[in-house]
Amino acid sequence: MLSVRGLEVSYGKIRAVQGVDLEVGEGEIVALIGANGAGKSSTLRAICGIEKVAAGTVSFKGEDITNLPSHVVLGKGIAQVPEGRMIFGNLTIEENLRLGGLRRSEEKIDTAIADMVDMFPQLRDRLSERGSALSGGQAQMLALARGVIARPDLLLLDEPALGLAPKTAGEIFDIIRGLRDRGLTIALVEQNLRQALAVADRGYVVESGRIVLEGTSGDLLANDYLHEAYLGVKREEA
Amino acid sequence: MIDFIQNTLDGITIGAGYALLAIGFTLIFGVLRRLNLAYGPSIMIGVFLGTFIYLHFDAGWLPVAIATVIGAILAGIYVERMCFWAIKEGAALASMVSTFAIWMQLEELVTVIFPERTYKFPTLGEMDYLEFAGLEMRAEHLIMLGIAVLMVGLLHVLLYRTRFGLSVRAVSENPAAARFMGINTGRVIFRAFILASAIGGVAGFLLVATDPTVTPKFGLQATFKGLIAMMLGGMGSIPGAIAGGVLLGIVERHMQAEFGAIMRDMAAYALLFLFLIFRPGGIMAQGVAAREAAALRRV
Repeated sequence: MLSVRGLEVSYGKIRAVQGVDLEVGEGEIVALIGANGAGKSSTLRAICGIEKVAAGTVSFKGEDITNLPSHVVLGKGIAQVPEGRMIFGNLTIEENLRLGGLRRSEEKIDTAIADMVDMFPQLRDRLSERGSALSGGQAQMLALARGVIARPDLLLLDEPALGLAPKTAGEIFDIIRGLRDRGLTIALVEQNLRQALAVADRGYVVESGRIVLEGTSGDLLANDYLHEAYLGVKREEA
Repeated sequence: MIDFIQNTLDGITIGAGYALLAIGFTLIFGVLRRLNLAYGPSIMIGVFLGTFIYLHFDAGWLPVAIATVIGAILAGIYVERMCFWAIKEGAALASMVSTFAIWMQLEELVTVIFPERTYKFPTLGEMDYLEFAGLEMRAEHLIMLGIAVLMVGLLHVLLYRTRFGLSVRAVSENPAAARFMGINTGRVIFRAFILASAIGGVAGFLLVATDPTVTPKFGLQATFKGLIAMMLGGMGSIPGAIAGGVLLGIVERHMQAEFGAIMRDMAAYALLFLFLIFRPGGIMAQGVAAREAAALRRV
C-alpha cells in the first residue's frame, strides 16, 4: 500500500532522514522504532506532506505522492495523528472531531461522530467541552478518533503513548489493535520497543536517520542487539 | 449626567466603526500571527475608489459602498500576495516591514492621483437628528451601529456555523495542527484576508460616510484606530476587538467633549499605553492565554 524508497529529509545542514526504505502492506500494523531524534517522526511527516522530501520517493497505492501538500495527501487516504496530540484546546471536542472529517459531507460526519463516541465512550458526554479540558489519555483518544474520522486507508500514528501512564498507554494500544481489526492499515512510530512490537506485525528500527534492522515483530523481539540497545538487558535476562 | 450618557452613546456608535476595523486586524493577526500595517491603507484605496466613482459618475451611496468594498478587497489581495504569501513563514519582522513599505506606496499612489487635501464623499442621505429622552442621535451613526452589529452577527455565523469558519479558527489556534487535519492553510489565510478586507471596506465606508470628507491620511487613521482597538481588546480575539473598539470610541468621545478635539487622539494613545503597562494581553486575550496555558499543562 505504502512504499518509501531512499527517503531523505533535511533541516538546513542536518540530514534527519538518510535513505529510508520501507513498505506498509494493506491491513498491517508496521512500527518504526528508535530513540528520540532517530528520524522516525520526520519520516512520517515527510510521508504525509508536512516535511519536504529532499530525495527519494513516496508512493501510495501505486501513485507517486512525493512532496504533495498535506491536504492533498489526506485526500489520497493518508491521515496522521501527530506527536503531542495537537488537540485544538479552544475548540470543542465535537469541533475537533469535525475538523478530522472536513472532507466528508455533514451527514457522514454526524454518523462518524456517533460511531466515534461508541468507540471512545469517554468522549460521549463531553462533546461540547473545550479540548483543553481533557486529560492526556482522553486527548490521545480524541486525537485517534479525529484521525479515524477522516476515514483514511492508512493511519500514521506518531508516538501515541508518549507521556501517558502505563495503564492508559495499554488502553491506547488496545484501541490501535481494534482499529486494525476494523481493517485499517497503520504505521506507528514508537520509542517503546515492547509496546510497539506487541501490537505491530512488522517493524523497522531507525537509528541516526537510517533503517538498521527490519523484520517481523517476533524476529525483532528475539534480536539480541535490540534487547541490549533498547531494553538495556541481555536477552536471557529479559 | 445627560451629557455623560450622550457622549457615551456617541462613543458607542463611533466605536462600532472602530470595532469593525479591529475585527479585520484581528482576523488577519489570528490566522497569520503577523501584523498587517497596510490594512488601513488598503481600506483607504477602497475609499478612494468609492470617491472616484462618486466624483466622476455622480454615483449614489450604494454603488460607492460597493466600490469601496471591492477596492479594499483588491488592495488587500495585493498586500497579502506581496507581504505574506511571498515572504515565507517565520519571517514575521520582514512581513511587518514590507507592510509598512506597501503602506507608504499606497499612500503615495493616492496622493499622486488625488492631489487635493480633501475630497467629498457621499453621505447615507439627508437625515435628521433623532431625539429620545433628551438625548440626540445622528441617524447615520445609528445606521453605522446597526450595520456593525449586523456584520458582527454574520461574522459569528460564518466563524461558528460553517466549515470555513471552523478552518479559520483552527488555523488561528495552531496552523501546524491544522495542516495535519488536511486544511489548506494558505487558502484559508487568503480567504480570511479577503474577508478582513471586505469588513474593512464596510468600516471605511461607514466611517467616511458619516463625516463625508476623505483625505489621503485616512489610511493612517484607520490603521491607528483599528490597531489600538485590537490591542485594547486583545490580539486575535474577535469579542476583544468589539470591546476594544467600543471602549476606544467612548474614551475618545468623552475626552473630546471635556478637553477638545486635540485631546481625542492623545487619549487614544494614552489608553493604549495604560493597557500595555497594566493589562498587556488586552481585555479578552488574558483569558485565552490562561486557557491555552491550562491546555498545555494538561495535554
